[in-house]
Amino acid sequence: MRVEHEPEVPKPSGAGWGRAMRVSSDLLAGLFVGTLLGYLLDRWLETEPWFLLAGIGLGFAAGLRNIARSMKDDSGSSSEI
Amino acid sequence: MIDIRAAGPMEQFEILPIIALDFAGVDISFTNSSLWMVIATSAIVLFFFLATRRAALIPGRVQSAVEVLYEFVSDLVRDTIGADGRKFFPYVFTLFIFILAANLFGLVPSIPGTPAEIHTFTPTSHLIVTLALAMVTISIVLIYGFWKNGLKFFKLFAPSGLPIYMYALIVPIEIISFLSRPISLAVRLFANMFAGHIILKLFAGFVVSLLSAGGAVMLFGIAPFLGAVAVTALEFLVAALQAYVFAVLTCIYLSDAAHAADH
Repeated sequence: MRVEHEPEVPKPSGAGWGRAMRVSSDLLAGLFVGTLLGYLLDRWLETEPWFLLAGIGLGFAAGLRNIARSMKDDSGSSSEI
Repeated sequence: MIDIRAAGPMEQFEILPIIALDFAGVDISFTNSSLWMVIATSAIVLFFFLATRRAALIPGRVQSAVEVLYEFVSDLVRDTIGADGRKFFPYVFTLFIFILAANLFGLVPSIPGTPAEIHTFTPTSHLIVTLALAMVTISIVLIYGFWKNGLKFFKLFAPSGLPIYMYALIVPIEIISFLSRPISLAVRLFANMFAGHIILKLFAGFVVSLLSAGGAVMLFGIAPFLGAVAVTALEFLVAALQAYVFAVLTCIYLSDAAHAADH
């Protein structure tokens, strides 16, 4: 006899879509701001490409920081990690 | 007869001036975007006027709806910011209700045969509108943060209890993270409304193209039609959800500003 399993996969829902959009925009915004700051600092100080490279790395880290923060918010605890 | 000149999916986002205005060389025309913001705002005012005109102890239907909205945002503000968040309630409520109304009015079908200037337009599907809203939020965060905490506001960027050498890395990351907030906030709302309306328009366009093909091909039109119906339902959800997310994040940022010195 076949045993019916409840699928473990969460149903696609509006909340899931909202969360997906939130995570992607958080990551992209961090990366964008980091890269932009690095680029502008480079142009200002004429140190191409060092600040840009650092900005990309730090921006990515900031994006991940944003995601960690919003995931923490979602789980209902305080906004501070 | 069906007009087979199905408009492209981007046409709905076009800004069309209704009353051309010019202020010191800056174009401040009253556009279709302005028109739909005015419509959304007027609808909110009318709705609240009707709901509170005869405020009764036992609320009627409209009054209940408004009370539910009020309670909802009020709880959100209290839970996120805490006891001293009361003063932000008017701002968060205004923001929430305006975005919600703007999103929902964008889902009203255009009246066929009317000029393109008054076709349905979603102000929140433009990045500049959502960015302006996010900038207002972040300005309030900055002004209130410095007013409340003074220079201790900078503690937001330097959490205490780290080894000294870690600050060289953490401080830039936190600053970039802070600066990315308005962009993240703005892009999220804009991208949701923009993408949703494009999908909707594409599905609708398929229906029109297939129907105009004639013959048995017309039967295939049922698939994109059902798709359009499903996407419309999803869009109502997204419209409410994104207004909510915007309000929640505003509250979180305000909460950070209010409690920056405690870190």
